[in-house]
Amino acid sequence: MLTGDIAVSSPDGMQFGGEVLGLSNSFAIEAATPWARKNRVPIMFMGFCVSFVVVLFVGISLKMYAENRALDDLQIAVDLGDLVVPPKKPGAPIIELDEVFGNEYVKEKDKPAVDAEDPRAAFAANPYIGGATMSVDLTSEISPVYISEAKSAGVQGTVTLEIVVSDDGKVLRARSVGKRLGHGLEESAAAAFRQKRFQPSMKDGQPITVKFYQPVRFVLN
Amino acid sequence: MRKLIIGLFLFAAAAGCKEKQKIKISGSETMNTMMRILAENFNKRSSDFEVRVEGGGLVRGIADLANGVVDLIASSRELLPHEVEAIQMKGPAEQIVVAYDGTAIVVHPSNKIDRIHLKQVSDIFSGRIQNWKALGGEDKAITVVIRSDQSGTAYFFREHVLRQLDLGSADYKLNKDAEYTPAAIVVNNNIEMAQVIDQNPGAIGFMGMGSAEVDAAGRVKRLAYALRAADPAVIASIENVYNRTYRLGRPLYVLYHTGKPGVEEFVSFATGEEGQKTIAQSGYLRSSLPAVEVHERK
Repeated sequence: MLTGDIAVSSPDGMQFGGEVLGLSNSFAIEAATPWARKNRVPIMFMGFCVSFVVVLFVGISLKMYAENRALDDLQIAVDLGDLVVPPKKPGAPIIELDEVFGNEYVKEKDKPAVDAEDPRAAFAANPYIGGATMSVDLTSEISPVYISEAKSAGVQGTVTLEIVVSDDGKVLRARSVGKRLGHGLEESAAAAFRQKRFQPSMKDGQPITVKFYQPVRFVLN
Repeated sequence: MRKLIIGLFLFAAAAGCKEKQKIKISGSETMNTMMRILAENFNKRSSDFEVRVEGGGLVRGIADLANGVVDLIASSRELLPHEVEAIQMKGPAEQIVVAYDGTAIVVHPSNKIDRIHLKQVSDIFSGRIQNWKALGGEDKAITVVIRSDQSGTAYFFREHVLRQLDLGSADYKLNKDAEYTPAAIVVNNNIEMAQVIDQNPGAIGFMGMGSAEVDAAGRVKRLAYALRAADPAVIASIENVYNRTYRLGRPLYVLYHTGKPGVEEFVSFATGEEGQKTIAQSGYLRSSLPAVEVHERK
């Protein structure tokens, strides 16, 4: 039996609750029970669910934050890679951070360029003036490609190449001079000559390195 | 209505007469005729650019290019390091061989001498030999005619012949201080050179083989030239420079700052097939090999 401290007044002045009338009224007792107490099981269940969801959310957020922070840290490391390298001593290789794996490696671009010009090219003689024979092309079947982009654009004209042939018949230099036609035609002409092999120029019985000019005319018929 | 039609016609005519961008050239007098003919042919073909050629000599040309007065210069000798440096102060520059010359040693057409060798020429231009009799010719005083100190050809001739560079370093060392005789008549260009020689039967001078064959034809005689007395002597000609038997051959250059479309178009014309044919017509040997042709269907 409930003996509540709460008195509820009825419209006719009778008091319910307690033993005011000396009678036990189970309905009255039930009515006087607090709602939260009456629904404590579902409330506890709901609370548990909400707590679970909150804990789950916080956990996932923390995990994502940690991952983002790790990425940020990696990004900072990569970005600073170029800045934090100490001043380069002449000839010293630069050590950089590999952007993918974080490993240190020697930068390839600081190695001597593969296409660095052979020093013999700087001292190439003029075959006509030096009294040497002219270099003879031994691979005449190699000819420049008419680049399809240039054909589509209707580009025609002459590319003049400056060519240096070494004393062992290699093409040390093939570069265009004067106006460029563009669309890859200069590169095509130079590439074709770089593939060639020559019988070197001869002077006084000795092979020598020489320089000459070679026009290449691209024509669309 | 009539005024409107005339106005429209004038407007259309003005629009059609687009002014060509000017390209100025100065420098070598030896190359002057060649450059003028090249420019004339280029101007006929180009709708955007017009080349104007002045001479003035190489020294003036170098100053002009270094000061941005001209766009390209013709040079009859390789530039000295300080000259290259002066030009490169204005920007990156390119030097291209456009032709080959054989510097001709020329005399009056009536001169009985037909051949000469380097030491004799050196002695004449330094004043050590003053009479044609010393070479087996007539008893006639030699009149030396030279180009001014603005000339690249005069510089080339002084180093290679007068100071005997072509005989080797030992001979050059012995003659490195040799100078042209003070008695020499100094002229500014090959036209003056031809006039002086034409008027003086005892005269001797030098000029580019193209000038001797084209500009001064009939007024001067080219002497057959040999490096040494025992060597075969040949006259300056395209064929003899090409086959390397003429021993006073030299490259002729153009120099310019890169990146100027009109100038680079002119250089491409000069080194291309048409320009090289023009150079041959001027009496000089082409510098580039015959063009490789790449033909495709459209």
